[in-house]
Amino acid sequence: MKKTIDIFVFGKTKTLKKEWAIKAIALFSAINVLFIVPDLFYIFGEQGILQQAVNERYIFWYQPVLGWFADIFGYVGISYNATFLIFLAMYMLSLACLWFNFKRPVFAVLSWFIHFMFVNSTYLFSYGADYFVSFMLFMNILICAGYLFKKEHRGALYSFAIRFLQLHLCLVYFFAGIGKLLGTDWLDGNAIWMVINTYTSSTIADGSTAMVAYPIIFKILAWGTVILELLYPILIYSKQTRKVTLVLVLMLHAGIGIFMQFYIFAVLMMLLNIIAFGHYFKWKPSLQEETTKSKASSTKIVYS
Amino acid sequence: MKVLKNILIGYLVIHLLCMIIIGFASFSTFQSEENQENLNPFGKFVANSASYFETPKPVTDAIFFYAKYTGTNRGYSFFSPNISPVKVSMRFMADGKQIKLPFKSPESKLKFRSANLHFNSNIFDIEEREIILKSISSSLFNNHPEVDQIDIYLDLFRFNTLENAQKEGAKVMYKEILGFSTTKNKELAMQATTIQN
Repeated sequence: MKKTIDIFVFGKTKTLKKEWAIKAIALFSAINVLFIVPDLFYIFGEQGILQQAVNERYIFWYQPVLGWFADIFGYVGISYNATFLIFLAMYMLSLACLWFNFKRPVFAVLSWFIHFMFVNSTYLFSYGADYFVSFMLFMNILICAGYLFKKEHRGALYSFAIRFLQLHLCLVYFFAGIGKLLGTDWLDGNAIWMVINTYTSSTIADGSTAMVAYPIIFKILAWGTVILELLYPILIYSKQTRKVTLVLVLMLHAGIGIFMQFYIFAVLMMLLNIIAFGHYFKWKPSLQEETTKSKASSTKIVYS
Repeated sequence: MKVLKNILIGYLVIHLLCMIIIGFASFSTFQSEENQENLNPFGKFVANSASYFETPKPVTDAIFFYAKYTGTNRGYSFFSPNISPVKVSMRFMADGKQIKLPFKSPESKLKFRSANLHFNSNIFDIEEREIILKSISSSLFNNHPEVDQIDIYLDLFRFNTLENAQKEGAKVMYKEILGFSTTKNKELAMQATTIQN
């Protein structure tokens, strides 16, 4: 049993290249910021739409916020907005260092911390995507931590990080699926109808009214979503269904991105799925076969 | 390496346990009578069983501390158990003209929508409502120094359910509510609700 767990967690030999995963995380995190560049000060600035007095109501004392540092920097005449710009520059610099493989463990921690602080400083503006970026940057610390160890141990540690991400995603989808099973909207197809009406553009909503006469379409889409999410932990590991499950999940997120205009969230979830399970497809340049000197890799049992 | 592996496996188990506790505990919010109406029998069973996943306060605090630092504290029951048929959006008016929020990128607009959702779900909490509206108005007064008073309207759209849409067509009920007014000195007054169809 212990050996099986050891192989499962540390002996994963087939994954997307670590280099590819770290660069994808760094690039995505940078794009995430660039997406809101025209509005940065309305979100993060001292005179932003939702100011610090509002934000402070929702966060705990142990959650770092920009205000902590702005108060300190204020003693040397640096304003709140300038403090924000300093941290923003540090964040982008950290992502660049991750990309160029310079002191990755250090900059993985720094980028995670600054992003975490930004999310805390804009509690009401933060939604699912921001929390998933926080989680992804936390994952990146686990991935980059391997650089602190000898080369022969790095494969096992990267295997651990990927298993960690895989199992976490399984729980994410399972709870997303079970939550939908509790009500009535996802069972009778009304949820898809409501999502189209309340989240999509009027053109798509108008188009969907033509389909009202065929409620079965809405039911199939709703049940398809619930089943895919609920059974994701099983389907994504079963040899017969894993490829099609990955494709369906990527399609689900593409749909969320295109129709609901949750672009960042959609791409982020696709990226996490690709990092975790992307090796199911043979993209030769991005695959790696880690050779670990651990006992695990010397056995013939391989969990992919 | 052996010690490190054991520590890592222990950490993985704790992480997964935390996620399971957070996941199930989030369903306990459906236990209230008001929310139970929207649940099916299985939903009621799960919501009522969610209390089994409640942990002693120090443990809960520790879990949420960890979850906040890893970005995993909000649970994952997206768009569930049901989807509200009502969409509410804020509109800011001054001297009969609409003041547009300054957001340019779609992602920023989505972020504001998230804040708007929070506002809508706490609209009857006077303190919460006032502090949010004062903050938004203060920012708008800064951007529009010529304005002395801002009226905040709530545009409510109620969509027909799929079942009703089949019988009556895809009707949308619209209500405009003049909810609040705020002046430059940040006095906020809730207006007598005016509803125009």
